[in-house]
Amino acid sequence: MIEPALTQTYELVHRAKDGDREALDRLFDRYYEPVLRAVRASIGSKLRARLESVDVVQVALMKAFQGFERFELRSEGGFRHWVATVAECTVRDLGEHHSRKMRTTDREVGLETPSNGDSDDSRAIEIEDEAVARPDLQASISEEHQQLERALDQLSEPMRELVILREFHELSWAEVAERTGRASADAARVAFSKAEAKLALVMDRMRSSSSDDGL
Amino acid sequence: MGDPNDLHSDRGKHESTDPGPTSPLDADDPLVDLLAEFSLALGRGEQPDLKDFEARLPNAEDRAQLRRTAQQMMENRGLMPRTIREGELFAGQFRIVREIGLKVDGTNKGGSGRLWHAIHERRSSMEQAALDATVGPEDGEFEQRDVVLKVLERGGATPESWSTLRREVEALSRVRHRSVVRHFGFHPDENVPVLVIEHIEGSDLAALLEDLSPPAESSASPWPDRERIGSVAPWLSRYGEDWFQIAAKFGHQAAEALAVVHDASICHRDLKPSNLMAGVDGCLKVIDFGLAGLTDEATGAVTRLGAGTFSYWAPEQAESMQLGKDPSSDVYQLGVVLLECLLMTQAFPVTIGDQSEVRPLLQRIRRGDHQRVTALPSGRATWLRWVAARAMEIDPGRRYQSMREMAEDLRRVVDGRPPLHVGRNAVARTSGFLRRQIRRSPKLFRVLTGLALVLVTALTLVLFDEEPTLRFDTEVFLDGTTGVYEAIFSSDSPGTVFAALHVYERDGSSELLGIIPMQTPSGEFAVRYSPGSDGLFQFVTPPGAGPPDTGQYRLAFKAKMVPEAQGAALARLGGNMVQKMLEDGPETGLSQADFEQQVALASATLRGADEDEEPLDPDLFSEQDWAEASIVLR
Repeated sequence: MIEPALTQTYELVHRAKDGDREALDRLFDRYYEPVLRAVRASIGSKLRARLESVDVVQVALMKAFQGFERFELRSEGGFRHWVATVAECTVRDLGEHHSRKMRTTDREVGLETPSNGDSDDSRAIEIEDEAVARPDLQASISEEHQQLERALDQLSEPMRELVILREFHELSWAEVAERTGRASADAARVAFSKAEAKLALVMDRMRSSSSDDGL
Repeated sequence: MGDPNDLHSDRGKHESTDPGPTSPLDADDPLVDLLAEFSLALGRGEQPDLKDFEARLPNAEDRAQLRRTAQQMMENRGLMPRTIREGELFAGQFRIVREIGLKVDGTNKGGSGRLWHAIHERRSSMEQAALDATVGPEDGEFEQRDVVLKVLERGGATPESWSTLRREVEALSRVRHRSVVRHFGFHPDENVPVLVIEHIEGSDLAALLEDLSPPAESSASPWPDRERIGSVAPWLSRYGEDWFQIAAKFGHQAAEALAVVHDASICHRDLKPSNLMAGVDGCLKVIDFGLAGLTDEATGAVTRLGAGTFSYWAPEQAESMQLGKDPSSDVYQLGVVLLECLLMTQAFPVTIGDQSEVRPLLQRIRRGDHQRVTALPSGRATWLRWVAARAMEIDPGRRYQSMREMAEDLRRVVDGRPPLHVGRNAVARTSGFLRRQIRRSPKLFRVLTGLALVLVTALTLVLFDEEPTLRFDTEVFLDGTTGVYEAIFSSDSPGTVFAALHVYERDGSSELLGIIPMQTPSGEFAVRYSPGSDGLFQFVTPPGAGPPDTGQYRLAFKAKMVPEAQGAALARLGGNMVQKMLEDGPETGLSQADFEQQVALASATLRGADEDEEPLDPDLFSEQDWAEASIVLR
């Protein structure tokens, strides 16, 4: 069953497909920044630089909106997580094949979006040039968040994942457990507390070393 | 298509190129385990003692880092602020409608958190599971309801304060009163502290007062008439017929609710107009128990309050800089709310956000130096001021002894009867001071007399044929904070009113402090009374304090109605006496003979008297048919 919050997204997607620019803007307002922050936190500093030249989050979002009705998702956090994963894969792929020409996004991530011909819903959201570059949103990543990103870089992959799922995608403990293969919400909570502790320690050490630098 | 989990499994490894910290974290770092344990304990709402954790580390440097990091974690539980979006299903149960806006005073309605209007759409999974196990999934129809989610900021709370807040909320969730906002408790499933409370359709009193006040440049009465009330909030008619009955009803409902809250050993501690919600259904509710405290609990010093909240602090709170734990502070704060319903503005005005104003504000509060209500109509309006004055006594011992007592008086005012518990024991400091000063200082007497006013609400010129009878409807009320003596009178017939103020010693001898110049709100020294309304005598002394006087004596208003023909001369006499006293300074301790001499003097110097104006009859002052209202001064 689709979570009712997604129903609102669904309605916005429909309106966007009908050419309603405001609906598209609202969709971006709702998803762009959280997804961008999560992707940045997840991919590491080298790939992060690439995000600034190619707005894969936007492309991933557009594709996700196109195929929205076909997703079997239950929560908004789940949807955000899915889009972030698509964007992340895109960036990683770009990283692996940086010498090649950029390929089409849907091939890279295997995203099955309905083409104009084989779908009942033949409408597609137009990606206008002006919408592609969103430097204003890119620039909105605060220094505080960048510090958090640097701290996350120093966590192990499973720990980082726990933090991102819980804190960035705001998934419930049960969802976190499901996505990280843990038996119960409580198990996820315990695992998260270790990740949280480690992250707090890293951030404390970063703060200490930067204040030492300043002396 | 697109199972997101498939994609999830495709994820590549993290590609960090950062060199990392100088001392990379060891996977089995004992600090991590201890902090994780600490975090879990916090999440369970416990109060873990950091010292217990520190004791488990041999190295002093590690202990210092543990303490630092744990404190950081406490300040920033969950690392990132929880973002909530309109339309989302929060915690799997609550559909977010919208964020509830800012208060009139610029502070967020949530105080220590943000408020969201939400619809409780379904049970939590835990509740549902419990229900499924007992009655089966198809039973137990769920009824949706509007709620407010207060998502509390984690940064501002220590584990101790969290634990305290939890206990208070638990206590509040047991308080059932139609005028106390329902607390459904903390949402159990979420890591963020989310308080679920009743949603109220209506308006808070701060917003109402602002909407109902006339524009600043308007010359209209400061109190809203029926037309204005009808245009701003027609549902207010469910509270009363006119503004003063409405305000009394607000006060009564709030006092009744707070009496029940006090019974549960909880003090609100943050009563102000913006924390009283007038519901469109005619039921006012006390909201925002964010600063509430249990009465048996020690309170900490307050550091994070806005100036807007300080405006409503009781003098003892301003003195100690603590929230206090005594219900009498709530009594005081409700008194300020009532006064503001009469002022239609702030009793202790302060610029929101300007912390430099806090210190002088607190000094004003300690002195009882608030905005004064002038030219207040008699009846409910005056009675309400009496109730406010009693509640706002600087000394908590002189206030209403309980919220229930205050509620009782407010009930009487709503019903159109004067309050019972005002005045009597509210006099010692000012009266002792007053009495000594009158003897010692001629200048003070001048000030007293100069400030003495008689305000009468109805000034219709009505001719009458025979001398009517005046009667006092109340004893003298003394506002111990401001030094205002008041009494209400009425008469069945119209007439000109003349009043004097006497002091009676214990041995029965009396002094006439002076006739009270009769000043109308328009500044004239003339007063006509017409039946159907109450007249108000108001005798204003400078606020002051001193040790209580052991002597017992009585202060009395004496008044009567005099023939119409004497009205003009009497009015002129009053005006001239003020004028003369201001010029020459008066004698003190006047005897009746002294006074008559003064009258003669004043009469002789009447200025601008018409030739056909009847001269003042000195017998007016010696006759014995005065109506009297008095107060015993201790």
